[in-house]
Amino acid sequence: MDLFPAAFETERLRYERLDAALDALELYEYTGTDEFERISEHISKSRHHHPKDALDYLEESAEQWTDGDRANYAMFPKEDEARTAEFAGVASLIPLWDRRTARLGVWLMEDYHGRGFAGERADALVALAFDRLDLEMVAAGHTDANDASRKAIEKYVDRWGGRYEGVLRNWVVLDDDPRDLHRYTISRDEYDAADVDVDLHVEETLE
Amino acid sequence: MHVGVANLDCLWENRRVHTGVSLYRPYWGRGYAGERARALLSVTFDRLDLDVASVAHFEGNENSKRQMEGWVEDFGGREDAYIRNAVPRDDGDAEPWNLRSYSITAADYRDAGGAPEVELDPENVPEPTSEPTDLDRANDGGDGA
Repeated sequence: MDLFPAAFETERLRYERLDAALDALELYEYTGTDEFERISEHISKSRHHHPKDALDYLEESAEQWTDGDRANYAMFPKEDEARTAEFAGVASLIPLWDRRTARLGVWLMEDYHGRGFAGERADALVALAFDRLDLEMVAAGHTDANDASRKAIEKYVDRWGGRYEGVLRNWVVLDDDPRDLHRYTISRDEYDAADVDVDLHVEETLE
Repeated sequence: MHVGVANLDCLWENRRVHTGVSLYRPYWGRGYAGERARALLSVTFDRLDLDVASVAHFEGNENSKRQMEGWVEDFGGREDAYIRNAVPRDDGDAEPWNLRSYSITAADYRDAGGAPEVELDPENVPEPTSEPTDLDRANDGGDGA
């Protein structure tokens, strides 16, 4: 059994191991666009300039999956039949084993902004980090100007009883530009004490 | 005479330095960490033209906390964050360290008047010694002190 489940579902989304769910040309249809340029403005991920970028990303994804260092999931809306045309984005669960911490990351295509999908995804990954991977901490962060992420993170961190740790100056570099990073964590104790109902169905292998 | 080690890690892309110090025990409590900090800030801002100097200590290290808070405040800096599980311990085999992190910006430094007493190119530099003067060496910070 892999450390990470091959697929899982939450209330409105289905998540599948990214490198198994999409091939490079399918992924490039989303990551090679102007839309992706806009949505990646505040995250440490850049537009794919050609399909080879998408291929390299998928290969790196597969390697990190096998090594247990990072799980990238393609997100699809559940009710939709034509799934690859209705791809919603990528959710990442990044265990930092020596720090007993899972870092979370996400990007969503614009159609999926502002509808609570980031929070729905976070709840599931928080549960996986503590219950399946036996980690002690979940961490998330956003850069100074990223209001959408701030709102989403504040909401789910608060739901889980976690805390805002502060802002670290010049902590990350995006487009050659140093940015401040706001950091949040949820500890295992906070997770155990929180009364949050997680809608999560795990599949060990892909159908 | 060798009393310890002062670190200046340049993160050029971040336009930030991270500073740290470890002093041999006989040299604790003499204000050396603060004197060293003023010199490293001068190098950071007056010579290297970087934008931020950061420093951190492990939660629970009261000596480091006291000396750091002193000079960070003198230069108008601030405490930035308390980071849980920030640093691996024993190669990941033990509970990770929690870290308290501080920073000073170039603007803070200039507003505070800088560190005019620091001579960046003194005419007489003491000869370094290869061996520490006391083996009871204490590193008092995670990424630094």
